[in-house]
Order: sequence, then structure tokens, then C-alpha cells
Amino acid sequence: MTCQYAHLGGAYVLGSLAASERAAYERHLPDCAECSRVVREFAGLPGLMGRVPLEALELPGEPEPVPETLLPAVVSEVRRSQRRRRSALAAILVAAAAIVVVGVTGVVVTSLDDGVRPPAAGPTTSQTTAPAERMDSIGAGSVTGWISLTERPWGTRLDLTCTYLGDGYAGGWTSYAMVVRSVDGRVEQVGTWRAEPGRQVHVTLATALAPEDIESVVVRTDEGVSVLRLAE
Amino acid sequence: MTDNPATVMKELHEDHSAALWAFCLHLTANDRSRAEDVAQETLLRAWRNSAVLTESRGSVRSWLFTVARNIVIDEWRTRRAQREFATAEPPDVAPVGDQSDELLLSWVVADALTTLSADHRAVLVECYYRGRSVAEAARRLDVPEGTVKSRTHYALRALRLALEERGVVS
Repeated sequence: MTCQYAHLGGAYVLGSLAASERAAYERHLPDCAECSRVVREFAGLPGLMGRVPLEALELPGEPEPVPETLLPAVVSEVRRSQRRRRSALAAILVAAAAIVVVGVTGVVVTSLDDGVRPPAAGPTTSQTTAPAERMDSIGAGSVTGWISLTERPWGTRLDLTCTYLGDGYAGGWTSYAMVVRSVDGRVEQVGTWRAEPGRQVHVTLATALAPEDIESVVVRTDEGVSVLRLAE
Repeated sequence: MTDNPATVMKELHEDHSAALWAFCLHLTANDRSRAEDVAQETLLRAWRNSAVLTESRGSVRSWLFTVARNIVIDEWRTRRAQREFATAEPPDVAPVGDQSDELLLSWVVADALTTLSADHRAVLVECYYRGRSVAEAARRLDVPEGTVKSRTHYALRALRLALEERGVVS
């Protein structure tokens, strides 16, 4: 059932109702939940409108045209930063290739026999890595991991040692991806790998971001479920 | 939203550059070259922060205004800090500090008001800004009083929605 005062809320809060109608509306309000709700919703609006001068509404005039140089400038900057990103990716591929040469695969799988502890050092490379930090297990907590973020001239080397403990799951390989988020909100997938339950896996990944520009590192399954997280 | 970065930027520009440009001009007191720097930097930050772009249009707009304002404030603070070692020059930019939240809010409200239809804006101008009664507004707009009442109702509802979208009211 529509209330006979249904559309008076607007004119009421703007103070435009004639005195007699305003009085009638105010008598009606306590008995009508719907009109009361409308008044509550509109009550703050006159104050907000008061911040905008009438001239701003009345004289929209010819708006100052957007400079024609704006779009070309931002588009070329966007293209430049894409190129930078691509050359950073090329550098990562070169770095990855080097790791393959040195460490045969770059991924070292060892049997899980002595529980999970921080890896002493990265595999078969002469560079020392930063101390490993324990990542937070997310969800069921069936994955544990340690990561070290080592600053390199080209960005950050990420050494991850993780173990998928496996539960009721009928074995099999699971694919993982590591996703790095920068402090200014960019999200970058830095690598993918597969692992078997019960095995400890060490992977070395890379990003062009400096360690201080990394806000968080997340390990996800290929289904997009986050399993490990490190927040700076 | 397409993945091509240049296309994303073109869409951003198409949807928001007019409003952003007007705001940047206002922020920089019509200094065109500074305004263009601020608008550029704002669009680039939005583009880099792609999560923002998946929000609804109104909140993208508010976000852009906020970023533009912060860029101007940061510049102003830097200049002030540099000046503290120099002579006591009078400031050559508007003191945006404490009043800037107010400025931002009024700009967002103005932007929300521009989304209303001409009929809705007209009824708000008469009833609110000119303080006219329903009867007077009806005469001036040449519509029945009942129409003035329902239009103010729907105009405020549309305004509230636009403000909600911009994160001003909830």
C-alpha cells in the first residue's frame, strides 16, 4: 500500500513544503516507517549540497577542453613501462637460464624425512641468500614454506622451500604459482612449478622488483587457492 | 576491461579525463602546465593500480580526485619545506592542507550533481539553492506542484545513489 505522503520526503528535507503541509507530514512521520526512512536517508543531502555553490550548477558553461597532449603522453608512458616490463622479463629468463645451467634444473627435490626447517642455503649457487622467513600457511595449512628474498642488481631473487604434506587427497602432482604484489599495488606472477605430496621442493624465482618494493608474496595452487603468504 | 594496456588507458581517459581535468585546473588555480602534470600522473597511477579500475565508475572518479589532490598536496609540502630554508616568501600556491578534504568533498558532490538529469537539477536549484516553496517552483518550472514534489524526491534519491557510488554516503 502506498502512503499518501510517499513522495514528500524530498520537498520536506529541502524545506520547500508549505507550513500546513509540513506540519501534516511531521505528524505523519512517527507512524510511518517508510517515510521516516526516506527522511533519514535524505537528511544529510542538503548539507552536502551546500558545499557546492549554485554557480557551479547553473553555469556549467563551456568546460575547459582536455589538452590534446594528455592522452598521447599517458599512452606513450604506458607503452614505455610495458617495454620496461618486457625487458625485465627477458632478464629474468636469462637469469633462469643461468640457474638451469648451474643447477641442472633449478628445482631441487629432496625427500621429506626430517620435518620442515628453514633451508640453510639456496641450491648449488655461490651467491649467498638472505635469511629465510617462515611463510604463513593459509587455509587447511597443508603446505608449509620458507622463503628468502635476496636483493640482486636486477631485482629480487626469491628462494622458496615448501612442503606439501598431503592429506586425504589421493596423491598426484599439484601445480603452484608464486604471485608478488608490489607496494604500489602491481601484481605479478613470478613463476609456476609442480610438487608431489610429501616432498620438499626448492624453487628459485625472480622479480625485477627490489625487496623493499615487495609488499607480499603469495603461493597459490593452479586453482587459485592461496596456500602460503608472506607480508612485509 | 581489455588487457591491452594502451586500450585500458584510452578508456580511462575517455571516461574520466574531462572531470579530472576540470578538477586539476581547480587544484592548481588554472595553472595549465601543472594541471596537466597532475592529470598525467593521476591517470598513470590509476593504470598501474589496476585493482581500482574494476570498481564502479563513480568510485573510480572519487579515487582519481583523491590521488590528484594528494599529488598537489605533496608538491605543496615539498615546496614549503624547501622554502623554510629560504627567505620568508609569501606562498605562491593556495594552502591546500587542512581545507583540502573539504575541497575534495565539495568537488565530489558537484560531480555527483552533474550526473542528475536537467529536470532533477532544475528542481533542486529552485527548491534548495533558491529556497523556493513547492508552489513557487511549480510556477517557475511550469509544472504541477505534485510533479515538483515527486521530482525533488527522485532527484534526491538519484543524488544519494551517485554519492553512495562515490563513497560519500553509505
